[in-house]
Amino acid sequence: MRARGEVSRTDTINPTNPTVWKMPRDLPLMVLLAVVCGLMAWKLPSFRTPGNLAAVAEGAALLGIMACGEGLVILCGGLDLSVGSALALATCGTAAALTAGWAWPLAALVGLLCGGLAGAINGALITYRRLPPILTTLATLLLFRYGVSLLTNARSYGPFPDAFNQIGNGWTPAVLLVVVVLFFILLTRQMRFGRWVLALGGNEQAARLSGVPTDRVKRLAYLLSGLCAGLAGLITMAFNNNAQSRDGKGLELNVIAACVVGGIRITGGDGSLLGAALGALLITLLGNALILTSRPEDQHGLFTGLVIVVVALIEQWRLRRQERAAREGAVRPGEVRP
Amino acid sequence: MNTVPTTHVTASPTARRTLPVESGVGVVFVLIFAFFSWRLPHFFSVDNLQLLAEQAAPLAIVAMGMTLVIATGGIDISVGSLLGMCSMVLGWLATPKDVGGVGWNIWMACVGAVAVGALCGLFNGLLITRAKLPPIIVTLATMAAARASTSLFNDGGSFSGLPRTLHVTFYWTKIAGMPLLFWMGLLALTLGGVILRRTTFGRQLLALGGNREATRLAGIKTATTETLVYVLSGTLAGVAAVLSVAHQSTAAPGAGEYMELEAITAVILGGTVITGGQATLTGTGLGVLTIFTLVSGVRSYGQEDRPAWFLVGLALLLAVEVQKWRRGMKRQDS
Repeated sequence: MRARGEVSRTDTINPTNPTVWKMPRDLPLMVLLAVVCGLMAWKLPSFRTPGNLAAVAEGAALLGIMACGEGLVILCGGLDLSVGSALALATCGTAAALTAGWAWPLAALVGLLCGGLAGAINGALITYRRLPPILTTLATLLLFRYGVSLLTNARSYGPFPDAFNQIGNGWTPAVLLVVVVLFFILLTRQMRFGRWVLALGGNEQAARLSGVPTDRVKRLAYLLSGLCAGLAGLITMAFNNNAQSRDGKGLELNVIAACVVGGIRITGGDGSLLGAALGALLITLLGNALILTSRPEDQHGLFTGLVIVVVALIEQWRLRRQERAAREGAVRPGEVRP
Repeated sequence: MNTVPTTHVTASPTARRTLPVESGVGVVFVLIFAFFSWRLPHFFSVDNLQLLAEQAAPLAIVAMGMTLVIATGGIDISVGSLLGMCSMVLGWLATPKDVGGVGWNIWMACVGAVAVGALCGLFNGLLITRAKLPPIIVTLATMAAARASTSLFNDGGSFSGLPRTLHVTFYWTKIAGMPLLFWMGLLALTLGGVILRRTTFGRQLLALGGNREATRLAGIKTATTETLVYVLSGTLAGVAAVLSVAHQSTAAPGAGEYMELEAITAVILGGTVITGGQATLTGTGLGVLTIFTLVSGVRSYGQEDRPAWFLVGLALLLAVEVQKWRRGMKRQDS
């Protein structure tokens, strides 16, 4: 086992043979994104209109921000199915505050707190009560969604003040997405917390025995995931100028799909959050392409499904190649890749 | 092969004689049922119980497949979408040619729909066992794709006005006072129980969920067994699709939405362990009944399902807590 100070600054904690050329982790996805973007800009003139770009930015910010939070949870070996419901909690909380005449920054804070609360509840149940993540978040998915629906009596809120709606319009979503992604990249690559998350996802027992405060890490990861859902909720309600308890229904699966497409290993321990955001961008672009070519948006899933399988197969192939390389080449324990 | 390293369906031999796994959900079900029977005059009537059984049957069938999948330590979140897709296939096959269908006989169309379900299950199974992809990713992809494919038929609209034969057969044929539909659900659960406890296949499923590597080393063809369980799950989604189409003689693209969540909830509520190795079909049946009793009881109070789903969420958390307490799980086991 590797000593604590020796951890390399790469995404994976598995030692691999340095002689094998290793592609930068997110390069294939970036190339794919560039190709898709280029094709769309070339073939679909309506793609470049400001209105469409704003819609793409909003969609990408919504999915990308949530994918960062979800990605963090998946990296530490968990799963958060309740993000869509946490989003509804945030939109309705904010909307209720706005309707009650609160200043919009305060109302936005309420939304973030609602998201954070949802995440904190998940984290508390998972760490203090030791419930399996998938079950806990399945239960909270129902609890948050129908709790909000009952509390608000399924009413629809809106319209909201223009100052608030700035959050979801123009360049703001894109800026927010970039800020959040940068924050998460810093968090996972430069800070101790990020190493802890990867260690936890790789081998929880080993991480705990080497002194990682596993429960605290998990709680923080779920809290951040909830906060991300809250922020995404603010963006989407500002964009739609409307909020209701149905917001974000079924979104959790898109978010998980974005993480998978972004190359995050579903069992945890390996992956990058930049990848998750790029995956979200790709899924949003594919959806936008369907709309622009006036195909029914319902068919989006066919492409998402295909992309998920293809990416998962590539990941699997990459993993096996890595394992084979590790078996064949002499790997000194604790070796640090440049 | 008799020396399968089985993980016993009942409690581990070291434990004292404990209550059966299903006791938690059983008590919850009886309490809820008794409460509604006491508070609502119409609840404990033949009509209402029939209605309850009719509503519960498709979920019971899907949940049976889900129990076996979860027993192996996997998960199949594509069942709801597969149900939707199979319904649309059935509608498309049974609709006359001049209205944009294929014009098959309705029973042939049913066979076609179930076959499509089985094929999708096979696809899931092969990707999981041969390409070694995690079940949740594969079935997530199939889920997205199958739901999207429902919009390929009839321009995303539904097929209505299908022959009433299906409805008459499944809803009006009464055996011992209950519709055929109910007996199919019961049969599925019984069959699942028999498979799990009395057949080699069932023991292999539990062994897989208990310890995959040990099972493989014991000479069991794990890939075949695991593929088969996903095929079964897909097939059952197809069967449930037939029943859901029969309900109103309509095939709708939105059929079976969130059914995967309902099925997983029922299975876990029943006491099956999510990580595999332990499963109970009796519990699953009780879980399905608990959900529908809650939904139907709460609906007769306020004409809506929302409070019921909130309660299902609570019940799920409670059931997991009970399960944990029953097994006396220690903190370090996590």
